[in-house]
Amino acid sequence: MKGLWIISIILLSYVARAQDNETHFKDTRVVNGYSTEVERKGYLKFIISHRFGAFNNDFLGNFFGLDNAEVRLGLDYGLTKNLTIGAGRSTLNKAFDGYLKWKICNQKQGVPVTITLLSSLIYRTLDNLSIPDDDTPINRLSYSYEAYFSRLFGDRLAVQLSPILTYRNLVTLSEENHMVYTQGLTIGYKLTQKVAINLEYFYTPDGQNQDITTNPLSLGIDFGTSGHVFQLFFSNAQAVTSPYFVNSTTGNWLDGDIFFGFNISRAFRIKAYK
Amino acid sequence: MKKILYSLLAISILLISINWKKDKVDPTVSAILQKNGATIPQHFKEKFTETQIQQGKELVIQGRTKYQGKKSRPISKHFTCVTCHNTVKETDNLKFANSAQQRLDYAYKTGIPFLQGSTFFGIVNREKWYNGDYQKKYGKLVDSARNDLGAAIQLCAQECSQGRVLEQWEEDAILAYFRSLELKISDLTLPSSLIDSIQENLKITSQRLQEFYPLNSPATFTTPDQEKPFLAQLTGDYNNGRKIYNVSCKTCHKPNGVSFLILDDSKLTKQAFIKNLGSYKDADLHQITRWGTYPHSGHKPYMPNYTLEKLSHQQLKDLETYLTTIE
Repeated sequence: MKGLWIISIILLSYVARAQDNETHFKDTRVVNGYSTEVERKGYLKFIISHRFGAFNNDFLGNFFGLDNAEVRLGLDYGLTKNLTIGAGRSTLNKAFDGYLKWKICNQKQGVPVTITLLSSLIYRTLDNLSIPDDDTPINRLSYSYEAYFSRLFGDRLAVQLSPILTYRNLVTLSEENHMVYTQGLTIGYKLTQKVAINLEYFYTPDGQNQDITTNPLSLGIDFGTSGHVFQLFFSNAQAVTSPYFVNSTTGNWLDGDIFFGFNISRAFRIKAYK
Repeated sequence: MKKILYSLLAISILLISINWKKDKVDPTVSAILQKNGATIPQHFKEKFTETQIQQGKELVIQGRTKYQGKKSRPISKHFTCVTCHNTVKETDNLKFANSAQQRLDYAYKTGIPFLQGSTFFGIVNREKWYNGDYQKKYGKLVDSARNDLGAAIQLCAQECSQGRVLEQWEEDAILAYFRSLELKISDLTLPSSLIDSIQENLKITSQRLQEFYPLNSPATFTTPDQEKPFLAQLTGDYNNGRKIYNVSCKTCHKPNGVSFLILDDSKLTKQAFIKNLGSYKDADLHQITRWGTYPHSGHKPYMPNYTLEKLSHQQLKDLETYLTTIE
């Protein structure tokens, strides 16, 4: 409780910069989760999300985690300046995902936070051989409904809260809920105009998933250039899409379940500038 | 019936007199020059339709239009003409249209951007285009563009806009739109004696009238090293620098603008400028304003440079003062 007060006072000690349209994060994603940023209108972004195998899982034998890595390839497109559509395919569960992301408002005078909503659908194509009768197409679907509220304090510090609701059509264990609530916290700090460090944490209250699941915690650094963003990070979660990383993470930092990963994105102008 | 006829006649006479009065009071500059024996430029010889003017306007502002019932291809994926050029007057007095500070003051006053390119307003009344040091940038490509407005439009579409060759109907449409922006006598700030001469249909020399608007836009390039001695002698004006930053830099470097680099008033941005001053990298204020950047394979968008006529030594000093002062 004391810690929370201290953090609040530190945050409040920054005078909020109520500038219209100032970006809070370097990219539309932070580590595994999304940020309040959306893709620019008419731009197509190609994203590679790569997570090497864990340090404590025969790291050298797996060639620094390359052999047991997970990857997602994705494309995002800015339909309008506030609406982004995206799709991707992950190696984990051989899952396809698609989403719509809508930025409702920007932080500015009279509006204390930037708000963005996201709705996504994930379809697992990897067969679950342990439950062949229940492994129907409809049961392979999962959904995620997310809201992001971010605020820029001063020039450098961005804090984002993201309540997330995930729904799994199929759960195989009695202690698993179909609907799971998770609270995300993301903190970004701009070191320079082009470099920022990030912390991302997702807290799922007990009683919704198996006891062995843990909360994903990630630390990363972003490098922005013209058209590219390079994100490097360490995380105890190897999955890239929610609901997988919020519901299926079992890694523990203290046990060495640490995955090194990167996101690389490149944006291309598709629609003529107007 | 008689009453209706007399009313119609009265209305017709009134309308004719209004139009006649309008023509008499506000003729175009080109009409006055031609009346006084000046040579007719090629781009004044053709007649254009309202449809062409509208198509040209859309091509200039949006980069595409409708032609024969279908949407045309965008001229460029990366820029439209108005990314770098205004379509309205840029100074109160057109005699000073090439004054960088008068352009800046007018831009700040009226809310128009302060841009690297010259305005299209009155472009048809000029005699030369792609002047001065643009030869250094475009070489032989300016040979035909300098003396022919149509060729200048093509050069701009292909090189400056990183677009494509315009079809003939597009070039004609843009010319038609530019013709609609030609100067009228009322746009000039003339002494009363000259206005009287015009109104009394007296002969005036072309040279006399042409003193009051620009015949071309001079362009002088410079480099950071060449400019250093000039900047060293100047004292920067913080407020003028802030004006330039707001109406010029931020016009392109804004969210959803033409550039990935977004500029703001944060300390981070200013610290980046401070750190890179004198480094000769793209992040060096002097380097980027005087050299700009260049398109290259895989990344066509670029930043055009500021000539001395579009950003004076003093203005660059002012901008430097603003960006290197953290409050």
